[in-house]
Amino acid sequence: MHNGLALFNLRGAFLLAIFIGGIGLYSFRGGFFENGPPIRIGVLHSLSGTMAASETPLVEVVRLAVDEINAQGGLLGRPVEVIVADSRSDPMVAAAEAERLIREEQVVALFGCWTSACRKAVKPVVEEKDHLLFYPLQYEGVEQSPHIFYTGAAPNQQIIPAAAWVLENLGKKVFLIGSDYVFPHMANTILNDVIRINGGEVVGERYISLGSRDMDAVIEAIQVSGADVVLNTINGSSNSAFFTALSKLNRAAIPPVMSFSVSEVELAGLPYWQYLEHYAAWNYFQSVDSAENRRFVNQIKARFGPEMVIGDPMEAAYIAVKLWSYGVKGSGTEKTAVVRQSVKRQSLNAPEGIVTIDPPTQHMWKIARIGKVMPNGQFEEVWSSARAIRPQPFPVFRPRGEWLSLLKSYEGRP
Amino acid sequence: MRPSFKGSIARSLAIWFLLLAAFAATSVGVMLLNSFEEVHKETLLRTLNGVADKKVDQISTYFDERIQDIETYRESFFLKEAMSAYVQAFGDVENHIAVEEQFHNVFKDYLERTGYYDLFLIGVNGDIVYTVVKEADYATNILTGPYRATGLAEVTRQTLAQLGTSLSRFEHYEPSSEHAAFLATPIIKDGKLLGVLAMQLDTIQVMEVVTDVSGLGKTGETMAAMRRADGKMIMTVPLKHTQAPAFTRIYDAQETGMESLGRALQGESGTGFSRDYRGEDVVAAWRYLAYLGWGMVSKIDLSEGMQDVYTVRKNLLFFATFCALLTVMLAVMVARTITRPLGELTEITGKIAKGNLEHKAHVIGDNEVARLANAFNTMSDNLKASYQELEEQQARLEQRVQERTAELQKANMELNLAAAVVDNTSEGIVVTDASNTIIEVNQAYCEITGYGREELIGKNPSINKSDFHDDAFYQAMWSDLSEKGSWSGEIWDRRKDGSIFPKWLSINAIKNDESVLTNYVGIFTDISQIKETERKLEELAYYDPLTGLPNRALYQDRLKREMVNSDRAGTKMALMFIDLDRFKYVNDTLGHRAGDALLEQVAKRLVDGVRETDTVARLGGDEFTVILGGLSDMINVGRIAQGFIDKLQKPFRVEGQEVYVGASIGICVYPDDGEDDEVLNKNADIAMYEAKSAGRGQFHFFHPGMDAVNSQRLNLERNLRRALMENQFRVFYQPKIDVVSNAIVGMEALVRWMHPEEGIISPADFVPIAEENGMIVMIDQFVMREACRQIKLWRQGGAQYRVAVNLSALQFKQSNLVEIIEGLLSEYGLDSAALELEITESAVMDDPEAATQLIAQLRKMGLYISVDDFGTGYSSLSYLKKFPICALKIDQSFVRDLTWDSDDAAIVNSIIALSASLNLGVVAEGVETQEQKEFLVEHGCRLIQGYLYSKPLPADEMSAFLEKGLT
Repeated sequence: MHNGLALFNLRGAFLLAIFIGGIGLYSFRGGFFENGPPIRIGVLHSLSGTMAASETPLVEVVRLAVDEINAQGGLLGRPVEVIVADSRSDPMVAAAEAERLIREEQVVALFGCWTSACRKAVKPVVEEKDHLLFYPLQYEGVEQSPHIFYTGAAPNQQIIPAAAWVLENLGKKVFLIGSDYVFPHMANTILNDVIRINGGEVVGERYISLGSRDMDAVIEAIQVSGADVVLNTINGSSNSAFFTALSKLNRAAIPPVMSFSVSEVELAGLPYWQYLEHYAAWNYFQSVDSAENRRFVNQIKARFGPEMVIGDPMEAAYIAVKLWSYGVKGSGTEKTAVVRQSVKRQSLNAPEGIVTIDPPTQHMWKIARIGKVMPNGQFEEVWSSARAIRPQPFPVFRPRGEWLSLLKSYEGRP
Repeated sequence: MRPSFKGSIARSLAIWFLLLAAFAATSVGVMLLNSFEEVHKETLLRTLNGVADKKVDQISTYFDERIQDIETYRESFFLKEAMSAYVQAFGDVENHIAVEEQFHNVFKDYLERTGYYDLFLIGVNGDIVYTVVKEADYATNILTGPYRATGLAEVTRQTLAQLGTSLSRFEHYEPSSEHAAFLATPIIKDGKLLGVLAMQLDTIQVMEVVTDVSGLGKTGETMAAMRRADGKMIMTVPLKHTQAPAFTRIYDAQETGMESLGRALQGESGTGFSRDYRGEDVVAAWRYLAYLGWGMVSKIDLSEGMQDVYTVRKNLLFFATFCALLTVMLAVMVARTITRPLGELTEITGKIAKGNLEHKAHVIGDNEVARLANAFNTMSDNLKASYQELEEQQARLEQRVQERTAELQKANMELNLAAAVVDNTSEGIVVTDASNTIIEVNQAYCEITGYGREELIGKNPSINKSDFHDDAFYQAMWSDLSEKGSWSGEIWDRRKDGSIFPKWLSINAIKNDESVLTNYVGIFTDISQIKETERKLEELAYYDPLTGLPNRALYQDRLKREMVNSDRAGTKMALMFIDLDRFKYVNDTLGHRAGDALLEQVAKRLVDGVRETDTVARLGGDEFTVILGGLSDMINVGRIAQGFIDKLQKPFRVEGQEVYVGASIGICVYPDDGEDDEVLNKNADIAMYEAKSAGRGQFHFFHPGMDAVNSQRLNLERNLRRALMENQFRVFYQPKIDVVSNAIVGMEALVRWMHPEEGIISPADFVPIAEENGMIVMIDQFVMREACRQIKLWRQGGAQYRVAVNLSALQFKQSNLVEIIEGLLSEYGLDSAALELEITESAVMDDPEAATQLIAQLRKMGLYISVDDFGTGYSSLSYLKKFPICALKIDQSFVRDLTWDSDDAAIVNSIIALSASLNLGVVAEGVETQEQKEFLVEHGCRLIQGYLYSKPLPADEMSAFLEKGLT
């Protein structure tokens, strides 16, 4: 009898303890197990090669956005970790690195690319892996991948309204100049259409190879053409050669220029703005007057120094990370396939104004802006669309099929 | 003696079990309830999220479909025909009737099928050439006419600008007296814009989608609002609980229940718990609707959402009470069976406790209580044996304690004595551990060095290190220490207040029994006093041991005696100061021994050139004096001086080498040039400097004009060394401004000499002298150290500015420059980007090959290098290209005159161009006027430094300047 009693007590107490402990652990499981390993995102930009100067600040801005997220406790109780890969200004490298980030680093989303060539190289990778890329640049449109979110402008949010404004305010005779690769060709095709539709006249169209600094022939062509205005889709370092050459002309003979790929960051290197009448079309200027933008500018200056200038692509890279984080929060998981769906429904009070993702195109509703360069290298807004414009990656004045075959023909060029 | 239930284990057990059961049941209940509630809330939030997402999707789909409709319709042949026809017929009544007959019914039919309110055709110029309903807007110009501020005008403008389909907001539309939104798209035919097709939507369909409550239960509701121009929100759908129609209710975003809507209107989306406009607790999800520009909130009352939780709570309470009662009953039963055998054991224990070790407990069965009784019996046996053992042990222990106490007292006394000796001795004593970290110092150490004990402990004794000794000195000291275990010698150290003093230091390495080094003990005496005495003693000895000539003391004596003689005899006396022109060079290249040998030979040649009665003396270094007495005129004096110069011009043979030195001589005459010995000495010195600066190998007679210029210079040179010792130098800062962005981009550190009597002495006055006598190296190092210290302070205050320091040519040639800078940066924990070095053009061009290497090394460290005073020297372009420098600084002499001197303007211009072509930064110094600034900016130089913005400021004023920023 005594034996039985001792056994009962021991086993009973033990079972009771396990029972209570188990219940306790179960109800506290949130606190104990919710924190997991960091959520990793991949950043794919050129840290070397010709695009490095433009792309490096984007990496820093992504880090800034991630640090903000982590400072507020991360996502789903987990920190976000940034894995940076150098695409070395080479689309082939970009594609290979994208694959590596997805396969080896197990990132849940990619943020990257500047040139259309890079995006087009990475696109098949993210599509094949059923993955996700955030692309932060304005571009030529005519693309709509369900695996890419485009946080820069579509043509109807930049090129087209800017061209209409130019024809109304600067003159009807237009000279088109651009770098010799797919974006300027495609952009100029659109511009040719817009100018003709609006009753303007294209008096010259020239292309110079990427990185070229020889502007003599182009400058002469502009002068001979009698153009009222020049529309500029030159990319990269050739811009400084172009503006330097312009600034050497007799001041009365210099036509105003509207640029599509020159932001505050590119302006910072050039001292000629008091001589030139220069405009640029973007969705964001550093000078945008809003509380959200002041906070953004202050944060960047506090982090990178007061000399740092901010351009549209940096802002687009920043909002990309924010939107992704909202997608993760909204769906309660970081899983790529789920987040890709929940990001579609996000909106954000961004430095440029409220931006919303357009679910069918995965582009953004954005305000279009035109700025005039002031001598201090900042833009003064001279026109804006006031309300966010719905993105239309395929301009409506040609059928989709025609755009796609045009694009193919430009891609085929050397 | 049976124990009562009161106070027994049985009662305690019952109470504890009850408590445990109550606790377990309550906590399990609360935990279950909590986690159930958590899960339930989570589910509620997700549900609302889903409902809101679905609504956003529905609304997007609704508009996407409308846009597809209109874009398809636009492309139809019929529409393009109609557009052309109506544009042509506009204003032409007859034609118009025909066109209307042809097209109107088709449009009307289309409208009925699709449910749009109206359809518009608008010409490129804005004329509304056709509408189906034909309200007041028909035939007006929408861009310029009475309705130019409506939604229809807005979409027309947008469509014309972006040649794409656009949508307006829902706003009151005057011609329809209704709220309406418009959808518009361009009509393009053969690459020409014909006009715009627009559709008018009323709110009915949108409202249906928004207010649909499926998935929201009984209390669910969806609210939507848009922002008005005045910032307030206007409800765009009717509120369920106020019955107010749409577009009538206006709220502030701060009002109760409106926060979520306010957030949605700011572009945010999310879910959460809040209170709605009735004050009811709700679960809400908010979204921004881009198509409409509306904020939307879907919500459900918390009371409905949490219904299940309340039911579970009630059930759990009942269950917990039942569990507690059941447990108490079980506890009482269990307790009774345990306490019976325990009661017996308690009785026996009571007897043993009274000292009766003979009693035994009864052992029944083999359970825990029986084993306890058994163990109890064994214990009482062992106890007896132990008592005896214990008593013996205690006696032994007490004796041992007494012995140890005596020993300890003795050791303590000795220790106290030693500590008293150490603390009362006048020698400074420092004890370090094997890694040379101070672990103890005595009172005298603190008094001599000025540091407190706490400041020193944990530090390295090098805290007191002065810059008097080179690294070789310390290396020798440490190698002595490691070889012999001790070192003693004279060493100059720095007190806390920065002053430098000599001390005699003995260091002993202490090893423990295993011969492992454990400590160093340093004992030193402050020998400032002894040094002073030594110096006086030297003065008392009259002859220079090296040359055998009279020394300074004897010379002074002779001088005074000769003055008396001259007075008495009415003659004159000449005093010569002789300085060797290239002595320092010989000393530096051939060594001190050669220098000494040279001085001996010089002395011999001088003595050979004078009469027996004249005095040749050596004052120190390479300074010699000659006193020529009893002169009636000065004719011979010049001859004698020239004789000296000729003699010293001839080669000397020193250590097997021929060396040439030469001399400069200054002469003054008594009583013509001064009536007391001090004045005479000074004037001869001045004359000698004059001779030296006139080109060496010359003699000069003193004349009064020299006085003013040179005495100042002499004073300066004498005072410079003292200034360094006494910390008279200060560092000022002048900002560099980027005038285009109007931002401070950095600053230059500039040295100022605050002389206690003469006030601020300009660098222009003392830097050339310091460069000549080499002290510039120490001044530069002082400035660098001070700048680093200041940068660190600013960084701690959050200001990140790069500070430039000037490097003299001499400093630039020091072989340890890189180590010095690395040392400073690491001492102050700065990264190399904090520091900029300004090197003069001449220093760089002096030995361009070496400079290239050194600059490359500095650049590799990450330092920013600029070339100072650019334009004043000679620069080889080919080298300039090779130097990995970062920027050029335009010398202020060019900036000063550039507004009126075309040469200077051209030079400045070409420097700017040069810097641009070499891809270097360019900074203009000494900018004082607005005109200069404008010229510079116009020519591409945007970085400017000068009084126009700020003079050089002391660190505290500079901090204030930085805080204020540029206006």
